[in-house]
Amino acid sequence: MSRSRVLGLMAFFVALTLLLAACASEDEEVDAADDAEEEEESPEPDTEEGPEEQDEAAADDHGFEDGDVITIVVPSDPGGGYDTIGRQLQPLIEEELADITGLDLSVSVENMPGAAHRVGTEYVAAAEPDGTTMVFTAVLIVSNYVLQDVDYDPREMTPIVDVGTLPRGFVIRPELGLETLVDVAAHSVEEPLVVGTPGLEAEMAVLRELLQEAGHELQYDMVSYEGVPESATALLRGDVDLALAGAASWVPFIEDNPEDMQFLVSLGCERDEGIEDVPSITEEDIDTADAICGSIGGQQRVLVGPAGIPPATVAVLEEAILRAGEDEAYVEQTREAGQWAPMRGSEELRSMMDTSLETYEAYREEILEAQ
Amino acid sequence: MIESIPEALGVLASFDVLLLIVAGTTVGMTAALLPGIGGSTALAILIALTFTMPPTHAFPFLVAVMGGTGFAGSITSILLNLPGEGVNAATTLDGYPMARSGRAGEAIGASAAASALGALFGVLVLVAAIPVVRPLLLAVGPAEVFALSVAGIALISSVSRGKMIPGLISGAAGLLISTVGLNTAVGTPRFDYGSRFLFDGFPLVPVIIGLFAVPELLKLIARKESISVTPPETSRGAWKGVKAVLQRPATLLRGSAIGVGIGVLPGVGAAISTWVAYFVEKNTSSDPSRFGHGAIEGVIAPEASNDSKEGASLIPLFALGIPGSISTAILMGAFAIHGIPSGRQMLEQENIGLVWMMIFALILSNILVSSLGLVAARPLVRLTALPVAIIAPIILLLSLSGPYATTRTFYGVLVTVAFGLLGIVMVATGYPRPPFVIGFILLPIAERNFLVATQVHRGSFGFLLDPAVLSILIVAVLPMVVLPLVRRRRAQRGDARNRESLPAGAAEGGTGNLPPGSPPAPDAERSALPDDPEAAYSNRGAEFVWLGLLGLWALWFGAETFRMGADAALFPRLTVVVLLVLLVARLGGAWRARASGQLEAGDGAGAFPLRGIVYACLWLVALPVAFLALGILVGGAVYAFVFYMAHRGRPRVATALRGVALGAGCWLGLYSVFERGLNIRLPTGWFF
Repeated sequence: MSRSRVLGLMAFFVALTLLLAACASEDEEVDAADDAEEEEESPEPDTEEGPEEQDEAAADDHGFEDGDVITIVVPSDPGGGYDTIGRQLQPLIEEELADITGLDLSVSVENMPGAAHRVGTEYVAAAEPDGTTMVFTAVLIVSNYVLQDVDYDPREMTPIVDVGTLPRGFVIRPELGLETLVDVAAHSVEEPLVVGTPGLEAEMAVLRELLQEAGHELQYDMVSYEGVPESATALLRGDVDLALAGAASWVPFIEDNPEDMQFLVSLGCERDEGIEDVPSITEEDIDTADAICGSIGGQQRVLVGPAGIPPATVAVLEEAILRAGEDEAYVEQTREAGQWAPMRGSEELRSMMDTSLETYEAYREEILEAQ
Repeated sequence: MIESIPEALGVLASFDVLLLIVAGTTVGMTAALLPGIGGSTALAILIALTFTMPPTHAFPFLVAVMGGTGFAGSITSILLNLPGEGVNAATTLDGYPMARSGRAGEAIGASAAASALGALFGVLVLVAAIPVVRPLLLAVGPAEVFALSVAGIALISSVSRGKMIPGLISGAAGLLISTVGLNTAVGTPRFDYGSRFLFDGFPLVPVIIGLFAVPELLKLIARKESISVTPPETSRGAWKGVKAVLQRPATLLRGSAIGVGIGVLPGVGAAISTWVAYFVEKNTSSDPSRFGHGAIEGVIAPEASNDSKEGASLIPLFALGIPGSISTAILMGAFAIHGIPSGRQMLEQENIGLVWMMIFALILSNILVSSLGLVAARPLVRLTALPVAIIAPIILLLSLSGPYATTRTFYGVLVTVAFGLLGIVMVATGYPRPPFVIGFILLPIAERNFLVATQVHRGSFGFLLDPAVLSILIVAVLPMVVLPLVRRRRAQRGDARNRESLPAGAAEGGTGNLPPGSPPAPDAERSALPDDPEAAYSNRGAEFVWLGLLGLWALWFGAETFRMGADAALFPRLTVVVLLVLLVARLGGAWRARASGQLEAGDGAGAFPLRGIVYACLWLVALPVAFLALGILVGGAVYAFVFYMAHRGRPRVATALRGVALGAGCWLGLYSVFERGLNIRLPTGWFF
């Protein structure tokens, strides 16, 4: 085959492709023009409407269009807690959005793992603020900002829904004979304890400082594990004296090995539904208990969008997700998996993120030293 | 426990459960054929489907997905030199040479039989071990895993037999590059320079695809030849492979036992079991020189190991409630959703029926996937006879789109291309790649467990003197270090006696270093390949440039370690020292050899088709450029079309139509698999 013929064929193919693309663009322009005409034909909204009409008008201002795909970015590998809950919620949110907007919107879950949620969060932070992209993450959105050099500011990002908080708790070897966190602190002064934790070094550092402020010194050596199963094995082997992790993750291990490990305390502000026998830290004689439970008491699972999503769009998303969270099967399945707390709206999420930010900024140096 | 078996079999025998097992096996098999996707990703995505199923349907289905992935990944390893997951990489070493010499069917048959029988072995061990294995599992802590990992790293010396110093240098380079990224034991990112991508280090699958698949593919492009250099044997080849497995029960048992032994240890990393199985088989062989040239044992051992570990990885899940692999971790998440306990509670009366169902589903899916493989072997081997104009763009698209799906960013694509170029340099300079991969996989495991053991012992290294740890180190490490040295000494004595009859340049490498054109060894199984993928392109000039770059890199990383804390710097610093010592030893050896006239400058130069490989590299780089410009779907399709037209001879309408069909097929394949099947949205480009 001569070179000129190859080039000719390539040029033909490229031209054909460009032509097809141009046709597609023209179609889009025609569609956009039709939409614009429809908008012009529709009556002007009445400015003196009642609250219900205003709500409806607000709902119409959400900016979504038929066929839009709303992407929930899960910044971790497939198969983890975030991924599982994201995929459970996906069809439910899709259904509720259709019900609220009357549009054919689809919801997609995409995994974008890397750098402790940074890759997915930075991707979403840079996305268009039109409500079609949000990240399903944790308090890491705040701690990464305080402790690392990231390309976003959590104060500017748009909170949508707190999907649920997983309470944290301490699990201890029963033969130590320690009943409360205060006992643990007193014991640790005489004999420093070995604490195992799957990635909660920052939270341990905050806890130590807050206990110190309340007059309880906690001395420990930290062992960093890659997950709760590894942490649980270490406790079973006697490698560590106690461990800090999400309470729900520990339930199956404690139920399977009651003679080797037991809950000491939950760091939640109240007793948690799934582990009602376990006392909350607020029941102990610790002056800073409220600060502890308010800052590091639970692992939040939050849906957050890029900065600048219009309030009407947030309202629609929030309503759809909160409604999805009331689905009976979803509630039952997530409770089985240890997520006992209900969903909360965007305002409560904003306040929670601000509290976390204050805590991490206040103890930044101590956390960095602990790491 | 046993009394629940009839009930479990009764449920399994129902039509809908059987259908789900077939569906799960098929989906798992398909996912495993896609490099970078693998079974665990498919499993994670499919969990959502099981939320509304009863557990008696959900778990046989999920376990069938696990079972379906085991053997299927070996198919692309054998046919295309493209490992689906890290665990399949060792199979490429002999599977692909078999395909090159027209024995792809035999390799697939051997892999299918070894996988099915290995899986059965794993399940039998699972059933036998559950009641008694708990104390054993608890006895193996971070200190013992560290010792086992060191034993694995010591394997590099035996892997490098015949090319000791180059092999050790490759291994040390693999060790050093694995230190890039977050050290999870001390929470310190290393050598990441603020990059969110380097923060997690280099992902395994793109590294393996780059090192193993890309260089071989570029050679095909450079030479414009099909995978199979001799016409593939299509009739009865697969059954020949099955027969070969049955005739080698010791190989099968060794591989399976290694898979079980490593698979049962949570956190050790399944990818290493197949490498250990391969090299143990090679070391115990009466003629190790056949390995790497199409020895069928080199397919049987890693595949038996790969599939036996699936059953074994369920042992810690049932005995301790601790997942032994990523797949079992996902399965454990599904247990939680369905309100089913894990650990010993699973073995209680109300759950034991489900455990049996999962065990039988695993057996069924393994038999099913192997049977499908045997049936499909005959049409599949025809892939190896496809002209390079068709097969090369397909392999390249799979090689680069799979890593994209793994990382969901272009980082995976770039890592594949970068390690592909590194692989070409290693092939060109005669440095073996398996030691690199072993070092790359094992150092993070060794380092992490060492640091955790140190933290548990409050900063003391006293655990190294623990009798169990010492025993593992002595029993496992010494033979691996000493035996190759003894063998080398023997070989040198033999060489000294026969030196006069050997061609120049073959002295160091033994049989593995035969120059191109040497007559094949008188062994029926040795492939009549035109080249030795690891050795024949040895090029001294390029080697010294490569060594110089390695030295600079080691010094650079060494200097960087002084900015880190002591714990984070320990292993990188040790590795840098080892690498620098080896580089000096290599250069010193080369200098002495030249002085004594045993080594000629530029030995092997000219065997490397520089012009052809540059041409092929341009095609490699063109694909990510097409991805960026036009997106993965359109860019991939256009690339396939242009590649076809450039390699298909005279331009005619029929040729152009076939090119368009190939491009459209690539587009459709990528779209249906990624966007529709796996719900992974492929990115658009600058223009589309």
